[in-house]
Amino acid sequence: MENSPTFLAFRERWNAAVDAGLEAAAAVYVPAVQARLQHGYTSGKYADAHLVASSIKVSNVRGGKNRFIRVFSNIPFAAFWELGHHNVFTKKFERVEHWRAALGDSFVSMSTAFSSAFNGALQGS
Amino acid sequence: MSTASTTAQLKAIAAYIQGYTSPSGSTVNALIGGRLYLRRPAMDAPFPHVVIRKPSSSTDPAAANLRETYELEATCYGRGRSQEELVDALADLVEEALIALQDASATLGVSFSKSIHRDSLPFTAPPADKEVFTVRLLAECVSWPGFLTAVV
Repeated sequence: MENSPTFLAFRERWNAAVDAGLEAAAAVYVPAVQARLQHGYTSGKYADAHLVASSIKVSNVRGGKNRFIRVFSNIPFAAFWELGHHNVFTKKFERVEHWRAALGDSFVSMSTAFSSAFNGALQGS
Repeated sequence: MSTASTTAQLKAIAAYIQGYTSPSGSTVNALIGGRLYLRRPAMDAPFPHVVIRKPSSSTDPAAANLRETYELEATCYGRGRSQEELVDALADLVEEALIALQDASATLGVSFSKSIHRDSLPFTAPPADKEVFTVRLLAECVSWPGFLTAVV
């Protein structure tokens, strides 16, 4: 059954539909993160956030049964602003979560985009 | 200790972690001397210290929204090369405590952890203090907390 041409063709189509859904969801998420980063970290006096916003990348879909797409930035200081760090200038612990907040804000839109792209790809439209 | 509120839930988990004793007899409190903070460290907190918070949670309609799945983040901080091994050992203990988290008392609600993800964060550069060594633990936990179950 699992090796039948019909099953293999369906599985390929299913995976392509999942990939299309993930790409559609990522396409919603990226601008949501970029919009939040326009406000900068903390009071906005750190221009670094704009650099992060312009560096956001989306990977190709990966994985086998559990497929995923990665939205990321290679700029290291984004990680310590988002995860929190002991700041040598303000002498305080600083954390500003734009990526997580953007995920919460856009979760419904991402789900809708995923469903629409998934259904479209599966139905061949 | 109770789960009557999110803060109470965090305080209960903090007390549990601080009081945790490993099978070899090590305790978290012996390493951090009570410096376990909720949400963010105190101003000028001495190192090493641990911060726990609950960054996200969701309820399950299949369980009448009384069951909550949440992320519990425990971040261990140390400063200077001399504390690197100490922070790793501290993170080992906290991870062990989180894996063993299991409580069915009337006040804590039924709570347990499912899995832990661990990251050793690289040394950073200004504006972050480049001497600070960080290990972050992210536990996926489940609870029937008092602030949800109180509605039935």
